[in-house]
Amino acid sequence: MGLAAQKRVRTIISYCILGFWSFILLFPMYWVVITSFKNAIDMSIKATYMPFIDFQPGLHAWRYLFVDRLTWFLDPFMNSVLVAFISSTVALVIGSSAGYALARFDYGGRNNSIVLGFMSQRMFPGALFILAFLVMFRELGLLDTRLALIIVYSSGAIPFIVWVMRDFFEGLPVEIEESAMIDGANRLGVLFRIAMPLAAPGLVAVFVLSLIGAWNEYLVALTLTFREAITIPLFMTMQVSQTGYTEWWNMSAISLVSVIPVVAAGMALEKYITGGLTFGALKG
Amino acid sequence: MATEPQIYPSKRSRFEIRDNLWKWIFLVPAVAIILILLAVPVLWTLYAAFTDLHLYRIGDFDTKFVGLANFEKLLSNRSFWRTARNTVVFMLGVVPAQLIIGLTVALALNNITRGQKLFRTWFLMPLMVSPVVVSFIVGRMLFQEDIGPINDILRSFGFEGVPWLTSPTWAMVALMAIDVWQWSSFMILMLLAALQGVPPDLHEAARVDGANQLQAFWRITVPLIMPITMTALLIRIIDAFKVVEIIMVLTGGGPGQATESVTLAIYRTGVKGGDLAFGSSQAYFLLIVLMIFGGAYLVLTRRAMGKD
Amino acid sequence: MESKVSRRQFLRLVGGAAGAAALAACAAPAAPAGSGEEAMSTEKVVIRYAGLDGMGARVEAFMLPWVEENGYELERGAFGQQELTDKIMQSVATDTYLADIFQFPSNARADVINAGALQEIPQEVLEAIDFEDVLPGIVNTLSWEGKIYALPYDGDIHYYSFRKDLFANEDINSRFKDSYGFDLSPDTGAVTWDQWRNICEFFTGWDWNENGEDDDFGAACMTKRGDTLWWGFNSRATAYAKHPDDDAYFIDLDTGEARLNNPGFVRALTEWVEEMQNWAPPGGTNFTYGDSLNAMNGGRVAQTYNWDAVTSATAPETSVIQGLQGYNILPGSHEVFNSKSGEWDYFDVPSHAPFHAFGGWVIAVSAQVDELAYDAVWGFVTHLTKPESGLAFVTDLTGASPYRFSQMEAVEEFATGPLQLGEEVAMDYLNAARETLDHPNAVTDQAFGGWVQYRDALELGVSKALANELPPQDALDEVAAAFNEISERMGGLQHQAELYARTLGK
Repeated sequence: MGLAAQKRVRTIISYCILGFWSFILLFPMYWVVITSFKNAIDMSIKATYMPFIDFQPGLHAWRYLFVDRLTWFLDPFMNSVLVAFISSTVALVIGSSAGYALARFDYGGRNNSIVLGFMSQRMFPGALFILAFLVMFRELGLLDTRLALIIVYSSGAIPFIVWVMRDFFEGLPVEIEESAMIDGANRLGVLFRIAMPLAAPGLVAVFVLSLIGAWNEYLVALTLTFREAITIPLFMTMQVSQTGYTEWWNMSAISLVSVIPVVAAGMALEKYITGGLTFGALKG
Repeated sequence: MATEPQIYPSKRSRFEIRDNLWKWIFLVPAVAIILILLAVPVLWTLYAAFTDLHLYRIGDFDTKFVGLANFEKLLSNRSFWRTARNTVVFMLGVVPAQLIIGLTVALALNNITRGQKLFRTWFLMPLMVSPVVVSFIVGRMLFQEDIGPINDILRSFGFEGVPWLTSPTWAMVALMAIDVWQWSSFMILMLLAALQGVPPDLHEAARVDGANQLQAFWRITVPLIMPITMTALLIRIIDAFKVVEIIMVLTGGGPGQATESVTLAIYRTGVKGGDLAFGSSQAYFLLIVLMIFGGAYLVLTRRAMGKD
Repeated sequence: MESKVSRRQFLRLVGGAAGAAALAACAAPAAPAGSGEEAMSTEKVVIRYAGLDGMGARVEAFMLPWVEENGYELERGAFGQQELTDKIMQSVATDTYLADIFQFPSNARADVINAGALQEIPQEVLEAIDFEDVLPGIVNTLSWEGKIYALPYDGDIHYYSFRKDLFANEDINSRFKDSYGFDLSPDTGAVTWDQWRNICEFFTGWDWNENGEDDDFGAACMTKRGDTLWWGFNSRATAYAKHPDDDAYFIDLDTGEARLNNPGFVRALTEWVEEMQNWAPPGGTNFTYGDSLNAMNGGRVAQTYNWDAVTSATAPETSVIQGLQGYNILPGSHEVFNSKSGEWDYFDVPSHAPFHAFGGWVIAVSAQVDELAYDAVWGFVTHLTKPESGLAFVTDLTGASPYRFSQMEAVEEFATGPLQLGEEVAMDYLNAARETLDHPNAVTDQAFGGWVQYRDALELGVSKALANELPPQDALDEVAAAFNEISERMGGLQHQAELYARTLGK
């Protein structure tokens, strides 16, 4: 077998592997999409696979969600939006400032230790925090408030942002900043007018990643919120564990509404996100 | 590609004195927030682990120090060891599977040119989906025993339906499948980044020297992607030790206690049951195990790679 | 109470201000967290209600005309079965406002009332809803130390239900009699658990529902941990473990020692495991309350016991067995274990010990109600629980079951009302309800404090046995040990025994 033929075989095998894995990833998503158009009868007797062929799709789950129960769904949805955006923004401002500082200033030669200290947070199991947070936020009277979630999610996202952004700022040329400062700009101006715009790809990546993290977080929300401040994942499990009849079609519609925004955002910004995900690890 | 964390030369700014204030203004908020929200829980939990603190106790009871009683109870508690075992089994199941799938798919992805970006984007999808949704969709619907599609397909090929959620063994398999579905992508993307860092001419040179495909892979590619692989593995191992959400949604720890992880047990005893003291001692146990394991892992992989 | 109210308002302000500040900082377009609430006093009074999603929707639909008529606003929190109890318990333990009015499981009354989380029901309200009409067994679930802290809403008990039509089929009956030596009774169903077991075995594995497949089984029960396993198991165990001469069931009244691993319980679990593994549909050892109902209403099992078997079987969209079900109190047993003597006693007439499973959801008013909402809240609960409303709820598909003397007489409303039970079924249903609620050997559900913990311990052990992880004896030994440990932690075995005696009306 010649080299070219060998290469062709390899390419074909590669596409087979990729196609297979893509299918594995696709099937559950396909299933949830078609389920959201199913009626009760399509799920009680046997599995049905193809709309129009083995079942007649209907819009009733979507009508239920967006017409009948819109307000009931809107509160947790807005909670999730607010909590995710505010906590990611706070974390982005605080975390990237610290990342910038660690890239540009010398803290007695301990910069690396400080960054490692930030990252050590990842080692701590979430279970260790929920017990303490429950009592801590009780004392502060902040249980069942969005503020509690914002505080926790911000602090959860900061170490990662510091880690990635520090490396990002390291890679930016220092000369532009220096000349701006000679022209009389102060550090704050330099950070926000020069460094941050240059680091925009990194900022976008870490922002979207913290957003997704906050949007999908479950354990802390389950522990700290009761009714008023519940977020989408918590709302969903409450519907799932609703005894009686599990309304798969309604649940599927809710799942899709909660998943589509983040998946769309993540996939649209694929380049940055993959960069953000793999960035730290590539460094070492 | 560095095998050690790079030691960055500290950049001397000419504006150090004027900047002294900003230097602290930028750093202190982040440090303060992390210190408060890390140190307070860590210390409070340590304190709680040595008391009989309880959330739901009726009447007036003073919190007492009980010394090591919670840890003694922990070590002799069969339920706790069951959850520890479940967690380790889960980790040992998912991490190698993710590594194998990750490597296979990443190699395939590295091998093609047309459509690479498309696949990469698609493979990102599971990482964006919340674990709650994943275990609802994949778990609750696909693994449904009676009329779920997986059993339905198995039956149409003449197999028996699998008791996905009622058999202790299969329930664990179902959970592993969910985790593999979601997190293999992380391995794929990490390993792809590593593979793309391997200079193609090195490979060619080895081939010219008479090494076959496999030998070239083992001698050139594997050592070069090893550092990233090790980091990715550590991240996945730690995450697998902390698994909880998919279990809560899919099995609730059952059947029996067959799929209850340590973190779920902590939630169950500490938050739900209100036994903050015993929950804290379990959380500390998990923390200590993670610390020892993570430390040993780092030291051993560094040393092994140092020899290469 | 005063200080709690002001603290809550203060926190809202702080939360709102912080949210607003954070928003201003990032200039996000959305509205801040608490904005608009400062101006609340001049706006409509909002009544906040927390309950199960399904049942709460019924409450909302029923109450909306009243709410609008009075110019109030209703904000309903919807929870799953499990989360509702957890969140109520956590909010009580952490002194956090959850809602003005909540639906809560009466099992948790000791915990919730002792924590000072509820307001005592004012005399005017009790009079307005004709409290005298409520069955004594239900009154017990609403009160603590002689004071009333909650209002009745639902007289939940487990009913045994069976396929009357199959039991009346002569062909089936003659084959059954050949194998087991007694007749299937379409009037009473299984009278003892031994009969229940025979029926389970007999109806498994052949196509009695004539759908072309042998996917038919004997029984389905609620067996899922974290769902309703507590009631599924206890309803199965009471006939063996509750002796008519002994008031206690869960723990010994003298010593406070858990009884969960005595031979009565072990026999119940051993048999139950066998039944659920062999004679229930696939997945039957991990069924939710809803799964077991679906199996019954879908015509796949011959018998079950449940709270809502009667009402849910009437719904045409979910049930294929309308009018085919018979109802009775839970089966009994000829042998009952006597904990005092350590022996099994034999009864010629089967001894029944119907379990007041759950004792019902009750409606309570939080101690943290905003002063401005005071009138609205009490008006709301009065309107919700007064006799006319109660009758409307229990005779419709709401998940609520009868709890008043007057409702027990209302055969007509059950037969021809929204449920359309028909005379015969309505009589069966009400007789079973009355017999259970009035039974001298009825078992009161656990309500002596620490309920969530005891429940979790029992469900953990029993589910291990159902999954073959442990033999029944070992599993129940673990449960008993856990019970004693929880009692110890809740204030001592003796202390818990005293509270238990109190919940039994001693």
